[in-house]
Amino acid sequence: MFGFLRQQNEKWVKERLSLYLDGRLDVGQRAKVESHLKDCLVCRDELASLQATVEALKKLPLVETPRSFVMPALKLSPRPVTFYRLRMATVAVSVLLVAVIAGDSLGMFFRPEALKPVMAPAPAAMPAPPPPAASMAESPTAAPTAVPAPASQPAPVPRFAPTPVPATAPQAAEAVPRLAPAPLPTPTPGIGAFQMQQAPSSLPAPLPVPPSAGKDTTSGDTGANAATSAPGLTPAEIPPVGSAGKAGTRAFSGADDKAAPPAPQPSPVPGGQSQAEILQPTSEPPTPSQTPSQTPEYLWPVRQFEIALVAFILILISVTTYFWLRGKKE
Amino acid sequence: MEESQLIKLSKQGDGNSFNQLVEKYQKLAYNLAYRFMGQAQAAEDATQEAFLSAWKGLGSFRGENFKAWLLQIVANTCRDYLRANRRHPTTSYEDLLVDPSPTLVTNEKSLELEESLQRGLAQLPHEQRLAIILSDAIGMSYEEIAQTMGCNLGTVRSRLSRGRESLRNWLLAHGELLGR
Repeated sequence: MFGFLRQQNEKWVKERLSLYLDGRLDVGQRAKVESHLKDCLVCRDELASLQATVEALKKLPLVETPRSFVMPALKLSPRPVTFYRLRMATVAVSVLLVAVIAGDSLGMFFRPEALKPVMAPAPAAMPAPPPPAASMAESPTAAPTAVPAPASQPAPVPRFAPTPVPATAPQAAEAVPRLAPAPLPTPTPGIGAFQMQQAPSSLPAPLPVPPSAGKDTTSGDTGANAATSAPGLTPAEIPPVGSAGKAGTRAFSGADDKAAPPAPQPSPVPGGQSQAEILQPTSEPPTPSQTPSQTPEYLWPVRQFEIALVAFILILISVTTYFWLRGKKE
Repeated sequence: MEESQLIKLSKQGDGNSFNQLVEKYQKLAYNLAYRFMGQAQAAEDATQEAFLSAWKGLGSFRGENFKAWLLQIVANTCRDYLRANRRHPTTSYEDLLVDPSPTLVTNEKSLELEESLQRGLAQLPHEQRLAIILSDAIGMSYEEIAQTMGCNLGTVRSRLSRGRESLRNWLLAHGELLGR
């Protein structure tokens, strides 16, 4: 036990002999080391050899330099400062260019008022509330009664000229208002018409279906939908009755997937007004999707600034490269 | 002119001011390189390279102790030189160590001791060697050594203590510790 403690103490002292020589021990540690050295011959021996080593090192003379290391004027050209500043300037301008481009792409430099027409066109294009009677056929709320229009359809145009060419998706959507048969007398709709009337949940009450539509639907076909959904075509464009069901089916499914045109079939319109008259082309306000996109105005000439920055960066790179090559040559 | 003024002018690109700093510290820098590498020619090259590096990197000098900053560059240059020499040795390490100091030409005993110390230093790890040279051969304080080596005081104490002990043991083992 005593021997173990003595070994630990000896180890502690040996680790501090170098500091003891340099006078880097505090008073307590120094006293402890000196106390141990009085009794420990091994540690005294260690201290003596270490002291001899340190003294020998301290006696090493400072060697004279073989020559002067003063550098000639060529090597001390102001290149380092100039080169450093040029590099920093290039980096700074590059960062500025990236920031401007990023802000430009995020639209941070547009005039706030220039964004308004683009951001809120819908209320202006919304149709006015429909008149009570005859305009039901043109009302957007009546539109889904005939064809279950997809939810993504744009706001309906009340009147639109039908085109005999195969309809694309927007055209099928635009045909929706036409398809709504307004106040039709038949109170017993066919199955197909009933299903179609049930589809839109926003409809307050099922609308009546014309008798012809009822007949078509009773024939076990959904052609009633199509029959009532394409009133704008001339009789010459109307397909034979036998094919009406098929055409109507195609029209219905086409309206679902926004591809096929509705099947043409005339239907009576109250008020003695023919459907052709109703569907005459009129000058309607464009829907939001048809609104020509306005080029937003910038708060300041961003494009010109970006071009100027690019040109400035190219100049900086050229000058920096010149200095770099000159310094390398030197 | 004061050193801080010379440093300020040097940072602005004044080569004459930097040359005054070179004149002031070149002996110290060369001695560090010479003791660290053990060969006059290598020390000369490393010292010149270190001063050039210092001139180029003067813009990044933010400290207060120019001497410690400069000697740190010298030490790093010497380390790089030794590493490169180890990978592509052009001379043997023994050749590097027998280059006598130009001042020790008269005292044969001192020359032997110096050569022994130089050989012993060469056996030490770089960090311990650098600590011993800065402390005992150049005479820097512990605080300056810590700044030069980029470490804390505890690390300096440890490196110095272990380095001296290793050097003492090496000298004893080779029977070259004179003066005992």
